[in-house]
Amino acid sequence: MLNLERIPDQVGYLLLTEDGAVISSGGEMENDERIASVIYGLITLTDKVDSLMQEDGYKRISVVYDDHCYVICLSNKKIHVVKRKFSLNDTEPAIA
Amino acid sequence: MLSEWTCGYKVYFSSDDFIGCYSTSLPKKTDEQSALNRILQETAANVIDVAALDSHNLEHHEYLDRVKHYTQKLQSVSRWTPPRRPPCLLVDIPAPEKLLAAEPLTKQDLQLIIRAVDEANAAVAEIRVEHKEDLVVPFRIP
Repeated sequence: MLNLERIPDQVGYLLLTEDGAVISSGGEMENDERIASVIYGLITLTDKVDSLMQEDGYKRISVVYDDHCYVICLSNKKIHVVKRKFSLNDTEPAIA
Repeated sequence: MLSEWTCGYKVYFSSDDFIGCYSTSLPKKTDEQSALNRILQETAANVIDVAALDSHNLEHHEYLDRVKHYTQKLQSVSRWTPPRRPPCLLVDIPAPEKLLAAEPLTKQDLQLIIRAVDEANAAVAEIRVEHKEDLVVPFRIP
């Protein structure tokens, strides 16, 4: 299984099933059901934002604050959420 | 023969002659046999013999009952439809480590978003109702 703890600058992580139940958690998000339900609500709000701009769904959703961010991916029918320290720099993000 | 007998109390005996001599104080052979049978029955009651479970032969009417029961169960399953999944913005991707570890967005993108939101906020704040004509108008009744 993917080890979310090894993600650089990670300060917390959540692994959810496709229906939003917490499978595992750690760091600042250990047993954080509230964040889990907020994130589940965010990604199940709609299946498309703009059907002209976007054909499929998204590969990644980032929720960015001044000093931290939440990065959300769906893989192998599980929702991966990583909370990371965030400081703006000039490195390019991976092309999704 | 020296045997140990544990049903409430212990009795040691070495031979039938010995029992014969003290037959009043020691359990009789029939008592021993009945106690042994009791132990056997209790043990048998506590054991589930898996190998013997298959030996039960179904009667013809039992087959028919089961066929009916299973058919009913299957019909109710065929009417069942899985609950509709809620929409999801994300698509399933293999190996998400790279995306999870990558920088969430560029400086330019963040600045673009901040500027757009600021402008939108400013625009919303400047929404005014422009007064053009009187709200109450006298009707010209001829």
